Amino acid sequence: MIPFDFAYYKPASAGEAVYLFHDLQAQGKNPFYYGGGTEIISFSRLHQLYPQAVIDVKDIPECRVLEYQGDTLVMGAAVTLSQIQESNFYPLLSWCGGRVADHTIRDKITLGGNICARIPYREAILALLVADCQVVIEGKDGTKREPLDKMFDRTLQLEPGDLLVQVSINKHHTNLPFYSSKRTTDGQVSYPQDRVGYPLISSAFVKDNGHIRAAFSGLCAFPFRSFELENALCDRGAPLEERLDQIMGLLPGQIVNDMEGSGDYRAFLFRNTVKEALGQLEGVEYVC
Amino acid sequence: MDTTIAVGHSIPKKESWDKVTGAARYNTDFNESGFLHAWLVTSLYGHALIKSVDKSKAMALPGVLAVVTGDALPRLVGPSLEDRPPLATDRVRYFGEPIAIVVADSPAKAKEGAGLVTVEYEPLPTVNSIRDAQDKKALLHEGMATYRKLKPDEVFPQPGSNIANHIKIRKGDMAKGWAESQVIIESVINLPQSVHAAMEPRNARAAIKPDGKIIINTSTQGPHSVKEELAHYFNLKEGQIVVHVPLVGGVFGGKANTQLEIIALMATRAVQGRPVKLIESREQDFTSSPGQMGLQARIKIGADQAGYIKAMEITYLVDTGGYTDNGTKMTRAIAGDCTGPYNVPNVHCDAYCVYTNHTYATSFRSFGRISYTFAIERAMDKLAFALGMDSLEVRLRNSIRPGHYTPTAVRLNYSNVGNLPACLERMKELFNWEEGVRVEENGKVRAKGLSCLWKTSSSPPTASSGAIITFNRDGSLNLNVGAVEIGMGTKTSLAQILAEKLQMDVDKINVIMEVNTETSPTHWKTVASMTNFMVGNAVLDAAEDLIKQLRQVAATALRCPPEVLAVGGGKVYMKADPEMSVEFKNIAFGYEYTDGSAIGGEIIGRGNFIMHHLLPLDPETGRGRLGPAWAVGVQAVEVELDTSDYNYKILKAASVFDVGKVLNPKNAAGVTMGGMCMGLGYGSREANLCDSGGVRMNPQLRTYHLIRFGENPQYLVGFVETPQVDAPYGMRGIGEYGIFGMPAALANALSAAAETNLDFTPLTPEAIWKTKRGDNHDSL
Repeated sequence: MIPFDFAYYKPASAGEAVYLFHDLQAQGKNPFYYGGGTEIISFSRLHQLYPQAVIDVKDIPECRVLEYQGDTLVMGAAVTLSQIQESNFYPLLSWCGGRVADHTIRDKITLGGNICARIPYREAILALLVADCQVVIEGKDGTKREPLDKMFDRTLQLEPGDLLVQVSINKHHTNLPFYSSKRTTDGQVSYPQDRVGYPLISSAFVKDNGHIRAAFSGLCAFPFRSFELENALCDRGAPLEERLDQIMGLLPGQIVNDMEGSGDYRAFLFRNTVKEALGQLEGVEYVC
Repeated sequence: MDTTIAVGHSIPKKESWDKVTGAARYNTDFNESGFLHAWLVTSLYGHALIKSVDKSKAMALPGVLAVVTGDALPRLVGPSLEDRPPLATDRVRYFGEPIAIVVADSPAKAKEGAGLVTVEYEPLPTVNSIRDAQDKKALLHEGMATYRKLKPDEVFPQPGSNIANHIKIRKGDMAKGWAESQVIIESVINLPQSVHAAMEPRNARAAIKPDGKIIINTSTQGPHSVKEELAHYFNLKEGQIVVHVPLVGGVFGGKANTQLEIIALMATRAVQGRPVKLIESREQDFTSSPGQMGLQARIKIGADQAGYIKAMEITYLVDTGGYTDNGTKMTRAIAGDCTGPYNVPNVHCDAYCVYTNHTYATSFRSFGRISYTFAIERAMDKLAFALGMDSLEVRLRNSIRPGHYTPTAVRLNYSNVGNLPACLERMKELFNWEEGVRVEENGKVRAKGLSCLWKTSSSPPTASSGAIITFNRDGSLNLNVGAVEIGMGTKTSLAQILAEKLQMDVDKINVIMEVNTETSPTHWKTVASMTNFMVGNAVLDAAEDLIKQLRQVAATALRCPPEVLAVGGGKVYMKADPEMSVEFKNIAFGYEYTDGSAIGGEIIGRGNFIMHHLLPLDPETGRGRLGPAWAVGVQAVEVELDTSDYNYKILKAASVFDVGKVLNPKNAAGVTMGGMCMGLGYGSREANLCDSGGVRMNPQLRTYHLIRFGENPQYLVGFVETPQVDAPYGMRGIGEYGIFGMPAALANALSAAAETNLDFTPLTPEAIWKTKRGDNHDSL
């Protein structure tokens, strides 16, 4: 139960949503865009968030697209993780997003909501980070389209009031060989999902023209893809254990150490994950 | 005893259609205009002095009618040792402890108001473990010596320490036992507290009528004990209080104590008796209401070369949290059954109930058996290892049997203990034991673990039950008992017992689902796997009474002596000529002669049952008798462990119990599987996690890990039937049993797989990895 009142708006277009946001903010209403609502509800009932206004973007037509437009897969920010999983247009995204929370909650959580969430894990982003995708953002000055690489650094770098509208991916990237895994406190999460929990480590690897791209969540306090790390990974001249040691020094932040799992154990799982991924993608078995 | 018509059949639960269609109503589903709503203000500290409580801001909020604090009922409460203030006044002893209750005209206002009550604390040193309690890092209850003991022969507090109870079991001659032992092992285990996590959070409603009658609507396992305790705490007449209990949405022992009912009554008294509804949020249910005890145990076993146990030395340290509630009784219960179901001639056991700044403990499915079974069964595997013997064989050799004596010196026979060796033999086949305990294949290890188990009831020696049977005009019956329907199908089982006795269709027996203390006969509490035994016996007694009356009227109708008549198929008939009969409907409300005159009147069956021959434990030796009989069994778990990273899957879990007689096969299997699932959850992932100040870090379902649908292994359930002669149709209660041995069997399987001793829960892959690396496992 949310113990306070708030105003609810349901704009018909992305432009109207952004206009409303700035208008409400000017009135001191601390507005939030409302997708699936799972975070707004759970934080508000715990007195950790006090939105005085929410702007529901779920029925904005451009946020609801889920289709191929020519060779480009276009996914609206208000499409739910369940819908993406069921469409299976991009299998790696089905895997990464399909292990978030549980099925009932994935019927609520939207792609945009997951990417822009406060929760540190945001696993759907992993499949997008390794896919060279583009994001469409509605802001005060209109619509812009940018590469995700340029826009994402620990979080999606949005100005206040900016609304993520769509994500688009070239078909080529949706069909690459991939490896993806998730480990929680309670163990390995298979796909289709067989257990629920926050990741100690969740990963997405693809192989494109012999080059391996990788993104991780759960290891550090934010999801990341690192070009340096990928280059070290692909340095096939060095023995694997050496490469792994090198990679451990290239992490973009401290390894998380919390009640779900220790930093040491996460590091251990990370090394295992990389070995397993390389083993599968390179067609070589590595022995631990 | 021949059972033909109802007992032994898988009769669907009578409430199932209401439940699966969503039509079933639970306590908080009832709404009335004029209800007020309440929200708890709870402690943010594990241990602190309360310097002040400022209600002014909350009272100023429009819609808030009252803010009630502990001074509204300045006394201590508790079922065994009165040590707990209903609302904390000068001190909080656990995180989440209720301090005040805000009453408002809407749930939102009550919650908002609760956020505006300002409590000023002065933190105290936190007793965050049993070790801290033993070291007296702080004394939780300086006033212990003055606390009222409700059962002086059960509770032995030690003022000046953090020990609320100490139970001793002394059997045989320990020096002789050790002298006869060639192999001695020692084992120490550590188990955390956990939560019940029933689907329906705990809640209560209270109102006072203009005539002074107090109406309590609550989700409880003990409607009659709520009535009795409220009368005692508030100095009221019992007849003034009516407790209503509809279907209850899961309990697992967590609704056996009286807590929110007291607070709700305090709240309604502050608003002139207007009805007040108090529902705990999931977080409050996890932190403010009581949970499962934690346990530390040290077991030392001596055995001869052939594997026969000669001596056991046992220390149990129960983490009862800030208050005792049922902690004292659980300490006594596990002491009484302390050796597990093994024949141990020489026993020395000390069981202590220890205060800490954790959530206070109440009954939890098994009443402590899940915990001490882990201690005993890990030790049994270590004994088997030390002897170089098969772990099933060691258990078989030491199985307790008729002729043996329990730790409290009760002599056993087939009726009161059943047949554990038969259960073990059945498990051998069911679990393909011949294959071996540990099999390596494809880089993974498959391993099996066992746990035996037993339990007697530890009910009060005077626990009693009643039953009333009335008729409808069409000859169908209404069965009215004081047992609550908590989801186990209890009411259906009781209808089966009655249908069997009357040899009639179970569909013609209506069971009254709600319990109303004004009209339902008493039942001690719906706990301890004892309902079918106690209430079932009362139902049989009521059926005898009913049959006697039916035969009397039928004798007039059929012009014969009652002795030649029998009952069946909704009729009373002549044994010698069943065609000569009269239907229930024609005699249940008097028999009408052909001339229109009538004799007899409404027939009402009444019956009762009371425990007999139960004796308190002797304070020095522990000799005594806590329950009427034991049920025994064995459980097993098979895991597949990846030794590269200690990820594991639970492949199979099995239970074989001696149930005396299966009343309802599918229901018995279902209840057992539910218990197994719960036990695997506790064994593999559940724990209350606290920071150094005793603040709970995982009070939500998103961070408190429960086993989920879809993670279930294959469940195998088998039953052995050795009748308990004084029980309905020979049955033994097993409602709780599915959970008992699961954590132990899981730990034994994983210890075998990982080739290391795993003496704790939760058994997460990380914890196994750390144990293999040689890290000390953090005690929780």
